[in-house]
Amino acid sequence: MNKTNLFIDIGIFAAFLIADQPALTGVPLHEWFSVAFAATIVVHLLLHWKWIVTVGLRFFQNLFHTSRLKFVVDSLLFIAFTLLMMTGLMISRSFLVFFGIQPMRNQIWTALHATSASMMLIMIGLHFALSWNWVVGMVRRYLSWPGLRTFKAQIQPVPVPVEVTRK
Amino acid sequence: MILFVAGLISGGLYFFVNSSAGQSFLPTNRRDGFNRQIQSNQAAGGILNNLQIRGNFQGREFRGGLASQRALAGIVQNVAVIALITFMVVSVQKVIPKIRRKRSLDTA
Repeated sequence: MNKTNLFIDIGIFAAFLIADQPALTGVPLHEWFSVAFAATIVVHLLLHWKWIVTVGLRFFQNLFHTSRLKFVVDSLLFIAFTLLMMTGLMISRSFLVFFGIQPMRNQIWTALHATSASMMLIMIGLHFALSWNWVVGMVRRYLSWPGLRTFKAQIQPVPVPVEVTRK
Repeated sequence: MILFVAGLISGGLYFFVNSSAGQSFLPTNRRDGFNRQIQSNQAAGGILNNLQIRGNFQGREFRGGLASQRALAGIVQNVAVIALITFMVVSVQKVIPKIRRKRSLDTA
């Protein structure tokens, strides 16, 4: 499960970096790619649903627990993401048009889209930072260089057999 | 639950923007330029597969569609921002326990 989470998270991170640069793909691909990205975010949320519910229920019971800050950051990240997707759809020029819907493009939506993208970048940084220990642990576990693994195995202290005599 | 919260945020924002329709915090010349751009795009028969759309996202604007070099620079910039935030937060997380430990040793 952790391995699945790690690879989904790496995919989401890469997708965000690409989706955040419409100049790289062009607007139509940017829109379709972002919608696919949103679906992956929902999968990410569902995979962490147990954590969300557990911390969410404890949020108002115990004022000082370690996951509290992470929960607040994640909530703000979700709000930024929802704003980003919603405003993106409101200024859509390809995705909604494909389905025969003409969104009422407005400069307010454009400005909000830019603002929420900046907000999301900062929130992703905080989300990543607060998950740092998990990321380091998982990368060491699943993505470490094969040579490094061998080296680690070599420098592991060899257990010395101890004779136990029973009286 | 996820969809409910997302719907609540989107609905609230939609209501807020619609209720303040006509107001814009952007200068009139930029607003007019954007409207002209949309009209010309619509007159050109849609922009469904046009990869050279001109976009304008204020500080993150791109003019003339595809620009791989600028986009790659943007990606590097975003990674740098995330790395900087991570470095700051992880540093604070490591420094605070050290200070606490030092204080407890001083008082003991």
